[in-house]
Amino acid sequence: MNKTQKGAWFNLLGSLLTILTFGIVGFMLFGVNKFPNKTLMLAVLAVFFLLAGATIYYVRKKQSPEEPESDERDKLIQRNAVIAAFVSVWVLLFIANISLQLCFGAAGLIPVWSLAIINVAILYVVLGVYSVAVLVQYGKGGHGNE
Amino acid sequence: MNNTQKGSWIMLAMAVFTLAVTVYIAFGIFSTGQIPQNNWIFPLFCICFIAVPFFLIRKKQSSQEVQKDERDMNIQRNAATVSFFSVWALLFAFVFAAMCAFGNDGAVPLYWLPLGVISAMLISFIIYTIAILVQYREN
Repeated sequence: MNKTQKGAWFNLLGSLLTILTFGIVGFMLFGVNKFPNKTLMLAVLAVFFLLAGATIYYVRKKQSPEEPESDERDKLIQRNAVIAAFVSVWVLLFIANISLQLCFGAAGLIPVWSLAIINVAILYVVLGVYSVAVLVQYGKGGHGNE
Repeated sequence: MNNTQKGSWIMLAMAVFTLAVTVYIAFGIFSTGQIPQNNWIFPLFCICFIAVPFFLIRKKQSSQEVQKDERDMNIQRNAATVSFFSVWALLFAFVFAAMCAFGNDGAVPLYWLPLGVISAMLISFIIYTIAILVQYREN
């Protein structure tokens, strides 16, 4: 497994964890109308730091001397994944727009701060799409060590 | 000039034209409260951006005109990457502009969102085509 693959796995885990945290916090704030437990938030923060530390360690350090460096093929895979992520941005923005119009009507109003939350949520989903696109391409074309 | 370059020039013209029409329609909606009635926009769009490009892209202008190759695909991928990052900058600029205009606790009318997304899309297309043309100029 090379640096690009390891990075993609950690990106995927990080974005899934962030989306899950967003979902739980959103549900507790707007669904149950209660601020999330401080211990739970600290535990989530600890997992984030652990994940960030593990990412830095595993991406910087080679697990075996046969682990290849990043080459032209990796760059190509990353660029193709960027295109998949680019397309997903428009699809997600379209879905977000349509669902908001369906929920509140065209003449409805939404708070300005929710726009920032929508943008960040879309950013994390797109990061997940990018990572999946990288991993799928490696899955199709070998294991990244040839 | 190959197909990618011709396509980029046509896309650039299309995006600028559509952005101008979007601004014109938005201005009409905000000033008069209704969509401006102009029957010339759609036929002009069809002639300029469907008939003319179809002829120009399909037909080679000279016998030396090259076909699409690996370098063209590389240029398109680089341009897509530039455009992708520009989309995020535009989306966050849109949120920042809304915060400045309405305040952090203010409310945005929902019909603004499609206008914002369409404008961001058109600007990112303009950036994509300019990135392609700049790379051809540099190479």
